[in-house]
Amino acid sequence: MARRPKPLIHGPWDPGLQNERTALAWRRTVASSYGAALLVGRLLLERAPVLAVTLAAFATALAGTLGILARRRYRLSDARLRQGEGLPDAKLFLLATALIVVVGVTALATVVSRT
Amino acid sequence: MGRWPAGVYGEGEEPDPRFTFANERTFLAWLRTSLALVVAGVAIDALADSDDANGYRVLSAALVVLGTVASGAAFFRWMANERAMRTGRPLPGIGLGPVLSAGIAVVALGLVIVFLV
Repeated sequence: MARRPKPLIHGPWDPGLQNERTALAWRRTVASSYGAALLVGRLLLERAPVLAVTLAAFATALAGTLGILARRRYRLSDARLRQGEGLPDAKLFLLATALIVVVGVTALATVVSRT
Repeated sequence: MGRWPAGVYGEGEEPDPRFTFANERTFLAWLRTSLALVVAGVAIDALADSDDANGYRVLSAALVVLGTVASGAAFFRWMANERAMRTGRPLPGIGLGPVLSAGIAVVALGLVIVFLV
């Protein structure tokens, strides 16, 4: 990989704006996760109100956390790129996957336990 | 380097960051696909008529399971891709895509059958 010459301090590191596109993809994903969790909660509200509200609260906290961490990831990636260092690790991916697995397992439990 | 997971970052060299970003966006796209499947499954179950509930319930569960499995598979897929890029090997094969397509087609057919029968 050819190292670029020292970039402009105020410009993006990459003319293709890959880091910015990735940051937007994170925002789409966090927004979709949150929307999906609320939708699942809404659909289950009559059947299992306590679970639905718990899911909504949990999803709000996790989506907020993920949003903050994703923004931090963007800034960290930008700094690392400019210094020619490696990009951040995959812990945030695991957290995002875990959120969706929780939504999925909750959804499955309610589908299966329907009377 | 100490980055997690060591199974990915232990070997090979840093790929072009643009490829890493592309891999990350692909992973996120898979997550959104998983979500759509889970939501579709819950929607079918919540909106189904009570007399057909059992038929719809199986299809709902199938979609929810497909979506949940796809999210886990997406993470493993990301790791496999990143490892391949770091070690200069070809990207892994086609993955869960055809399985998901087949699963969705089967569920769609099932919905038609349950609706008409």
